[in-house]
Amino acid sequence: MKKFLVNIILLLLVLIIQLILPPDFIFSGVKPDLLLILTVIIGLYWGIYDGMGFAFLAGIVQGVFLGGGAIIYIVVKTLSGGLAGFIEKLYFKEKIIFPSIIIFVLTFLHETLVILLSETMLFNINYFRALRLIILPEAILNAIIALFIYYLYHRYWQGRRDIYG
Amino acid sequence: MRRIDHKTIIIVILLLIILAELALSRFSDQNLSVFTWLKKGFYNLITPIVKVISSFVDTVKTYWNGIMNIDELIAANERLKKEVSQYRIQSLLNDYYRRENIRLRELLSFKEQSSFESIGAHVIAYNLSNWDNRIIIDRGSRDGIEERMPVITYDGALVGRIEYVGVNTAQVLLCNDPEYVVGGIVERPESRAIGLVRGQINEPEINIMENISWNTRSEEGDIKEGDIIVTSGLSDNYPRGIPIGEVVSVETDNYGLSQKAEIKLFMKKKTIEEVLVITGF
Repeated sequence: MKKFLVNIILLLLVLIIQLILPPDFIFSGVKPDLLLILTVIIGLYWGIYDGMGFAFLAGIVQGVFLGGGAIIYIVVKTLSGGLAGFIEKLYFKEKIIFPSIIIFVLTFLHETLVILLSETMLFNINYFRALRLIILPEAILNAIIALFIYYLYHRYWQGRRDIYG
Repeated sequence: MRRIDHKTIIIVILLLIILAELALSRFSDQNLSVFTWLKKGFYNLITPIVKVISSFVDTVKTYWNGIMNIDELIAANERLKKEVSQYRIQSLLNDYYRRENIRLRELLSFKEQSSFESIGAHVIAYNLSNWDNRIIIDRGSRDGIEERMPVITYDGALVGRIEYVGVNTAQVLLCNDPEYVVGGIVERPESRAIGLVRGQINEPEINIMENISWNTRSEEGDIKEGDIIVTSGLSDNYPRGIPIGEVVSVETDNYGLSQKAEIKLFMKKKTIEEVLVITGF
């Protein structure tokens, strides 16, 4: 229960920060996807069910602030959270660099799937331009921010007895 | 055989209902009222928090900038005082000209040109994803904001339209979004070229103006580089004359049957902090 509450509070906190961040936060016109970072971290830390569950919630929450593209984000976020959860048992939780690498890779997958599932984008976007100007900077930004978020997340849960639920 | 517990069944049913609702809203523009209510509830719950945090961040930023640039502020204050006194004199003159204009219009029986009724708003939040072109402003249904109202910058350039209204906040779909379309017309008096101006994904600061009819009297057509494009006012949603952008290139389209132009937008997404919502025109 505690895990659920902490993750929900984090989800809302991350949503608010993501909304307030201006588009020119660090890279010109590119924002990090804090919701993706959090859902991947939850997936990596707690496994496939929690990963998919919170990713689904993150997708819904994101959908409230989007128009018709809400369902795309729910599907893509759930898939990303699920994939992260799938590799939960393959790494030591103390290795804080590993989640960063996973988030770097999953950002490419996430954004590519968003493009593939969106009719407006699929037929109009110049993928390689988007890759260079948006996806790559976002992946780098996500990976860097993930280092800090994962470190704090791990520190919080590390010493707690109820780490497994 | 593995037994499925009640909790799992309830979760699966809930997920299916949510997905069905999302699919309905995406493919048929219909919504289940309970989800519309939940969405509005969540939106109205989160946005006031965003509003408070955003205004706190803005205040800190303003004070910090003020402290860092105190010498510039003092110099700017002195300069602005002088400018204000000049504008005061100019304002008196303008009043005189306005009255004269009204009198002459009445003499000539001109129809009164209506001006916009607008309401100012602060931008409190930005797009959630890098593919999305929306901002959230601190005015909502309580302030008389309705969906599809046009939004402009303080210097008059088109920003977008109201897409979703909460009680105290509203979402604005920016005019550089691919889903945004508005009728545009060349401002030059001798031109009557009209077309549809829409956003595009690849270059967020450039919109495309399509279906521009050829002018047979001119080799260049009715549109050329440097032309200012304003809203045509042909639809009921936008008044005529809101500046959209400047033409940067023109090419033929539809196998030579029409023209297509690239429009550099006046709106700068990254620097929008305050906007005006046109509530009546």
